[in-house]
Amino acid sequence: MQMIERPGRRDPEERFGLLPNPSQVPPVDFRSGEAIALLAGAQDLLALCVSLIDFGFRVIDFSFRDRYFTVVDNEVDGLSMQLEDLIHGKDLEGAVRTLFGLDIFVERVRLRNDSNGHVVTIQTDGVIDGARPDDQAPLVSAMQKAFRER
Amino acid sequence: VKPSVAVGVLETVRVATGIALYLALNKWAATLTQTLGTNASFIPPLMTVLEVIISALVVVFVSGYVLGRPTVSLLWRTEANGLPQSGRVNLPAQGQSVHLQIELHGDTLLRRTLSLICKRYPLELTLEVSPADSLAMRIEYQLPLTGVIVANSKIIFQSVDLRPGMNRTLQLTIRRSDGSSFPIPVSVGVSSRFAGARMLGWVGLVRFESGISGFNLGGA
Repeated sequence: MQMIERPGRRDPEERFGLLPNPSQVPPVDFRSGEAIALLAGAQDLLALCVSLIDFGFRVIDFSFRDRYFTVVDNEVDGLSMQLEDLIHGKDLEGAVRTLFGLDIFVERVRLRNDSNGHVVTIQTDGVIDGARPDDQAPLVSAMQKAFRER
Repeated sequence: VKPSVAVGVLETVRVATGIALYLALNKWAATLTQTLGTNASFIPPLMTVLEVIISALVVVFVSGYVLGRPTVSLLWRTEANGLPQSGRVNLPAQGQSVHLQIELHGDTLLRRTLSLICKRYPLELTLEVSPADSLAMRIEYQLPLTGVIVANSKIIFQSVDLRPGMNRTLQLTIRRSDGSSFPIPVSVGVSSRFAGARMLGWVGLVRFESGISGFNLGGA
């Protein structure tokens, strides 16, 4: 799945959504009508996690990369654990402040949907893996809430 | 940023203050010479020098504290604790993250006035890279948490806060998106506008320094 936005629309319900991307077009090139890929950055992923907590999801873990896009061992000083605590406490600013200036970026987050046990992986650039049909409605609602001011 | 009508008015006021003051001092110097009742030949040139010095000092004061244009500088860093970059910044072929800070200096009466005006008509700052389709930019983190968006080849600061000092920091990732593998230069342009048509001629009153002129995107 690909997280998308329709830049011309103001109303979050029309603006944000999910679309299938079966041929795995790179997000930068993804187009579908007026929809383009929502190129989510690290902070967008954290904001989406905070918002997904309200829809019955729990963070399993984060993976990180450095400033040259190289994947970093996720045991950096217990960073993943520290972030999970901040996200479950809904402290987005605290999470951003923790990472800011470290030159470490959230690359991917795995979450469990407590209502059905599915594990969903969300990556930067808005790529979502493992979402089944019944995960999509809460994902879209969480996007609309998290990206309202985007 | 092109100079605007308001900048012209400002510069005229500055020069006019100097000239008016010089002329006013001329009268005062004549009166002073008369009062002193001396006819020594060194007095007139001395008075002229004094008048010029006083006028210049007042103009410097007016420029520095009253009518001085505030300057918004952009600081670009390729490492969290590195020094700000200037000129053309080298980026590896696959791209990397950069830090961008926005800082304001020049605390004058004009800055305070503009700051009040900005509350009603926000000042929007746009950075645009060209060629537009060579780079894909993404905001990773920003503090405060909202207010900057990336739209295609543009980074838009929706409301620049005219408080002195550091007022916004963000981390961006910059990637190559044109599919080519040869090195290319990418330039960065700065433009700004106040929201609201009434403010059309006012833009040049805030000076912008883009910090860098662009990037050299490395070849594969």
